[in-house]
Amino acid sequence: MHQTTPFLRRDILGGLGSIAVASMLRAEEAWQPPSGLPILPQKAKRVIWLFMRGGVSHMESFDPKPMLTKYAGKSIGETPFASVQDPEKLKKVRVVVVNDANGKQRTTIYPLQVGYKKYGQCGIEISDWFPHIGSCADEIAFIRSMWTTDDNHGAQVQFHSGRHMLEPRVPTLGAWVTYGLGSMTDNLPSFINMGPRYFDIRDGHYLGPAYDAVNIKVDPKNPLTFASPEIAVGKPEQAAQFDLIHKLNTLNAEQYPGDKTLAARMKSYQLAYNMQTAVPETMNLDSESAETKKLYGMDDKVTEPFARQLIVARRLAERGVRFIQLQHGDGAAGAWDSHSGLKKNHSNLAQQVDKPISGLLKDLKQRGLLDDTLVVFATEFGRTPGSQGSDGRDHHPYGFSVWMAGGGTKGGTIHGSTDELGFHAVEHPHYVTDVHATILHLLGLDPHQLEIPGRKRLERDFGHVIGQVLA
Amino acid sequence: MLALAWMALPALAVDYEKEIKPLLKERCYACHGALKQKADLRLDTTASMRKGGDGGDILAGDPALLLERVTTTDKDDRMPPEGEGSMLDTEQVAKLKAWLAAGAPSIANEQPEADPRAHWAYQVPKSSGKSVDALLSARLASKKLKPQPEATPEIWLRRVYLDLIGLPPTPEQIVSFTRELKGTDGKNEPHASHSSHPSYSRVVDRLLNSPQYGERWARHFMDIWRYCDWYGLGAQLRHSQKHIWHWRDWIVESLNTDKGYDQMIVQMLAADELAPEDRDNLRATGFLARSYYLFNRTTWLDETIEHTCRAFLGLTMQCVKCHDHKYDPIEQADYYRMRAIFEPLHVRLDPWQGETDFEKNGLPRVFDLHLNKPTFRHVRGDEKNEDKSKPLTPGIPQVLEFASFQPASVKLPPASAKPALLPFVLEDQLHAAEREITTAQTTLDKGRQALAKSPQPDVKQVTKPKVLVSDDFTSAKPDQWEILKGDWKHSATGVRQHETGAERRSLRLKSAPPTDFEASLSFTIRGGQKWKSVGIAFDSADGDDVMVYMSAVSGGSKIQVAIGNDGKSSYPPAGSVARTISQDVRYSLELRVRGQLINASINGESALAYRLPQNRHQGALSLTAFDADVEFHSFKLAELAADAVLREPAADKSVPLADAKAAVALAEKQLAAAKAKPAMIRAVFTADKARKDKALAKAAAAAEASYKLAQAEVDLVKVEADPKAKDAEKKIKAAREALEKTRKKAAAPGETYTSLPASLKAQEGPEESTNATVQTYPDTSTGRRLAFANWIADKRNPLTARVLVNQVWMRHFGAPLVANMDDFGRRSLAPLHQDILDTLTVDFMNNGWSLKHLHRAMVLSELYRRSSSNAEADAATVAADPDNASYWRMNPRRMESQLVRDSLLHLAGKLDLTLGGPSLDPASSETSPRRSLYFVQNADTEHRFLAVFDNSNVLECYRRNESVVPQQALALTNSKLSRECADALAAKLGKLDAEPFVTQSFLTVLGRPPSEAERHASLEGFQALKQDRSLFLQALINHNDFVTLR
Repeated sequence: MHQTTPFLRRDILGGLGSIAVASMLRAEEAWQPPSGLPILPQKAKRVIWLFMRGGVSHMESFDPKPMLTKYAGKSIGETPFASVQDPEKLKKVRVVVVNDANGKQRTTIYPLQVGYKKYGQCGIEISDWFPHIGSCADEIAFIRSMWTTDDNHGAQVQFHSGRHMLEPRVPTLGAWVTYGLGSMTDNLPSFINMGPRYFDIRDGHYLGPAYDAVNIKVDPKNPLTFASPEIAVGKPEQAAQFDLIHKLNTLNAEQYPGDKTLAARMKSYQLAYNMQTAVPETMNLDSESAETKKLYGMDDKVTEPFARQLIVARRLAERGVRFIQLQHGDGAAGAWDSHSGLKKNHSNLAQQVDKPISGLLKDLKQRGLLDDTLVVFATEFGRTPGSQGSDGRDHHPYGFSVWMAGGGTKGGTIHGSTDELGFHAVEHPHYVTDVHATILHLLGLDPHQLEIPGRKRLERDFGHVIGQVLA
Repeated sequence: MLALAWMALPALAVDYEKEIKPLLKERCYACHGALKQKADLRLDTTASMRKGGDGGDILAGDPALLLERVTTTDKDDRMPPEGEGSMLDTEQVAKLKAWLAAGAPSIANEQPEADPRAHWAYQVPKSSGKSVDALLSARLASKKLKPQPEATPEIWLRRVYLDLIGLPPTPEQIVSFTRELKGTDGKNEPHASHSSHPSYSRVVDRLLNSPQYGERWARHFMDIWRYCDWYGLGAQLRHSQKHIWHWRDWIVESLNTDKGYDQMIVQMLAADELAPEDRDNLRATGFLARSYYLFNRTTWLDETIEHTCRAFLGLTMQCVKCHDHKYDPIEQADYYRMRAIFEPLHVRLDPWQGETDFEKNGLPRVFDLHLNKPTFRHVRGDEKNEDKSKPLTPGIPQVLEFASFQPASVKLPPASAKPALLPFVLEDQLHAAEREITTAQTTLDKGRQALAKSPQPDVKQVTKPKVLVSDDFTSAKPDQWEILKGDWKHSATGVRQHETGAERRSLRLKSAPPTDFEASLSFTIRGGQKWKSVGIAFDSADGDDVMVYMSAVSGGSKIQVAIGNDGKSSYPPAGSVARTISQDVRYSLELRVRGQLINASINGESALAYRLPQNRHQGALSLTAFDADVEFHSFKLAELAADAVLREPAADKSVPLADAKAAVALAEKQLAAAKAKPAMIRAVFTADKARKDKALAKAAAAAEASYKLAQAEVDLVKVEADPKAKDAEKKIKAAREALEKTRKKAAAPGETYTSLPASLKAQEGPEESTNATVQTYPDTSTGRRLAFANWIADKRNPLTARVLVNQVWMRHFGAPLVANMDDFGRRSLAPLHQDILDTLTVDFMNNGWSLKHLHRAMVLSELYRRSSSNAEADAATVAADPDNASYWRMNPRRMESQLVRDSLLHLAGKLDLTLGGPSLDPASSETSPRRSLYFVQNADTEHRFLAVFDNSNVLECYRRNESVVPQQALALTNSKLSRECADALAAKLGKLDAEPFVTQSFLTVLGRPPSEAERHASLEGFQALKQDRSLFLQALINHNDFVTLR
């Protein structure tokens, strides 16, 4: 047993992120970075963001379209809904890859590949591939009227940032949330990502790398870059090293009184030291009960990988992490990208996530965390009502579904709709930044007031709060 | 609804100057102020509001017009108009209402907005004739601020080393510098004033003359100019260009030779027009090649315009892509006039001397390709909505037009239009051709050796085998053969089986064959749906059998052993050899079987040796066709002679005879082709050079045709040798046809020929597949970029040099003079230190735009020697100017990521100072000792060590972030890099006693000796670390002063 050194007992100083920005922008006088306090009533304190990479078929998940089965095999032009192909309505798409093999109009209607059942008191219909999420329907607000403009997987970047790939890169939602609200923990980063990233390695962009998500892995042995010495050092020696660094920096602070950067650096060493223990500790699930593990599906090898990530997500939430971002689905484009074999693809992937997600919602609820934890389920776009090849669906930016639960949302709600074919979002259509605005609102932030000098969040299309899904 | 809401609010006392004027300024002035006067209305003074516009006084009446227009729900009338900004909110409306209700009180002497053209940055800078220090002293005195004293010489030295070469001084350099100061002073007080001591300028000169200066400052400019290695998806290039590092090397070299910044700008934008034959400086155009984007031309040009203007001019042109500028006197058409400057632009790789493979090296450069392509305004910035009513002529914003913009078309030398004529191309191509000959000769020699070692045909037997069956199939012999399925028809040439489909059709021999036998079957495959397999099956009984067959299946023709077990066949990989087997070719399949050993030959050449894995069971022999329309010509069965020699598969390591023969045949053809190439290269080059000489063109065409014929023969042999390849049959057919074509061409070559492949035009979109065949480009350039570059780099341009001086100042002093590095428009108010900025700017231009001159002016200033500490500072000064706006002290700065890594390696004595060269694999950045600017950097690559210290953002980086995050602590305490450098440094310092060790460690890592308190704490810490020198040094690497330029 080694003695706790004085370094480890020292009190935590002020906020970190704001110091980083302040030093970056010291030439600006009038402007002040956010205080880290919400400026509106705060319903949610943190976000768990579940992103299904590749594009989930809205028609086979949360937006039933029996007409697809009725008109299966017919061309869209032969149905009463031919007007969905009106070129005016198709204009909003902004093509990145010209003449790509994918991202095309698919006109031969492909029947529904799965049945639907009604769930909960609300009686919301959910596909048979998501029965466990179905069992939580009364907690969930479904938005069935999303649209975006990128018809390729750059739409993943777009869903996270609000901007199309061909426009300048801007910070992602998680970065803005962390920037606007600051940290709730002295032991962990505020913005964490798990799983394969969408193809844009920066989150903070002009906010700076302090607002990039920290990538972690659920492996307790190697959860984070440089989390433990790459060349072995004994624990007492490392503690002595940190103690010496602290003492020398303290003496330096006497030579440079009022040096904010130095103060921030001293605090960063405290946090770094704590993180070395706290991050692996969070990944270690030994203390979780068998019952809890079962709830998430840790006992089944199909659901185990995502279940583990979601238990870790809950543990991060409990430990004060602000924005926990999960990406599901490997591959450059994302596993959900079912250009062929949709039935096999979606039924398998749904099985991987369905029980873990319901486990997360139930676990958060039983721990009283669902009230102030906002869970978001999203994907970059939907899939075409028409078939691609014999058994697939193509990318579809004109209409798709996402959902939110907890954190001040109204469970058991369906908001918005697509037309009878699931082609266009028609009732209450929402661009992706409406989801962002809603999340910021629930967190107590004003989507219009997030800025740094010379840069407002998004500059335009800030998004509108979707009032109908608020409790 | 909105109107009701504000009417319900009680009247408030509202301050016009504090609450109304800023609101109007933000929301209305852009269209109703000095910049523009829409509807002839200005809102920048109450007087002008009272005067009103087309609709009269906007403050009079109830409700006043002003109020009416900002509250109406009528979309045609609302202000600000739709698309120009959101409506005012309830609170803002309430304030306006209250102000109007109070009679719209104004302020005394209210001045209208100044003429936008009078903006400070649009005026030509004037020198004060005074030094930076004199100007600063006066400012400090006038503000009653007291400057801090000088920092110690060690601190100055570390500052200037890191600033100018990006590496800290060694202890020897520190000691020698301080000794020099003491020595010539003749004093022992190193802290006395040295303001005019020659040692300072000697150090600065030495550093500026060091090649590392160019590397250090190149990295700064690579930030501003968005240096980015190519990237895309997999092998597809989508962004930037291959070998763009040539531009990086050009930056380093230009800085080291102190090329004028004005020249650098012109070369980066227009070296191809300025001096098209100056290949060294063509590298500069990497600046434009960097923005290449495969998928979208508008995105490419947008980035070009935006970042050219932000980097060189501090002009935010990106704002006017969609609408007129809200702050600056620039209109949307100006954007498209500027686009017209770049409209003809395209990118290509020119050859790099000594290399003919563009994957390995090449010179990325720009040129004008689309000379007459019109530019149209995009309505509201929508590229799909071009205003075709009038094309825009190239031009620059009028506010900055000190001389008329007159591009003059540039006539290009022949080698610019045709890179094949570059003087080294012929030699390089001939060298490459000679290398090909050598390679082909070597391959042929090796092939011949292998052939000599190959097993010869399997006929080494003395005894004549005893023939049991011999049939030429000219007539049916029902007593000898039993038909097992199939439609068999006899003729003079044999028996033909017509039926196809995946089923076996056989003639079974009625007599039992001997256990060890030899058999041969001659046949021709005439067709089949897919498999086209013909073979000999034996040991057939109870659903078991062994079969050796040849299959002409497309993409996988082969000879194969199949083992049948209970009616199911398995195909052992060891029993399979790829062979070209074609339809309508007569083959002979010869089998020799002894016990479990099978030898098979095709046309007398051994093709396969295989040993069956299990014991054999005697059974019948049959001739089989599987999905094959086949003709059997003859069959022979004999007992295997006792002295027949069979080959074992294990011993079969030599190349099979057929393969060896094929390899030699290919090598012979390749050598022939290689030998035809130099003549072709010479003839083509000669014809190209002469231009339009018919006789030479004919000769070139003839030489090319001969070469292509030889090459076509190679191609055919190649595809024939790879029957397993995908679509092999198609390819063979195509190769035969191609050969036929080239034969015809060789017979009548004509006069057209292909120039040497001496350039690679970048794809104009992902569909363009023949870009590499383009070898001739326009022989003129529009001269637009040159005119544009000359306008930027003109002394009369009020922005260019100012923006640069501000960039350099920020990097030496930690805070810029103008806060927005990339926006000198009206949003940037006149800076506090405009006199310093302008004086340095004029001085810079008058000294040939010399960066080294500018550095000297800054780093040899008194300000640069000032302490960055607040300690013992005058309390009134700290209170009056806590942010150091007046530079009463120096600003400490954090090292950029590259400095952290380079300094660590330098301390450890590991840094490799090799200059330039291709970008290095980013994965090696934690193990390679090269400087950090040499690793691949693009939007797809993350350097895990550099990233945590705010690496440059390749999309835009006018100023690095200086964040403080815990990952930096983890990187410096836990990375292998930091620990290994500490280890190496410990080894370098040797086994000093604790006290001198601590002193020397401070001097090495932090560039200064420890204070008494630090020495004490360090000795204690050293003990706590059990005197582990490496861990102690690593602790110092984690000292805030290590990553800080104090």
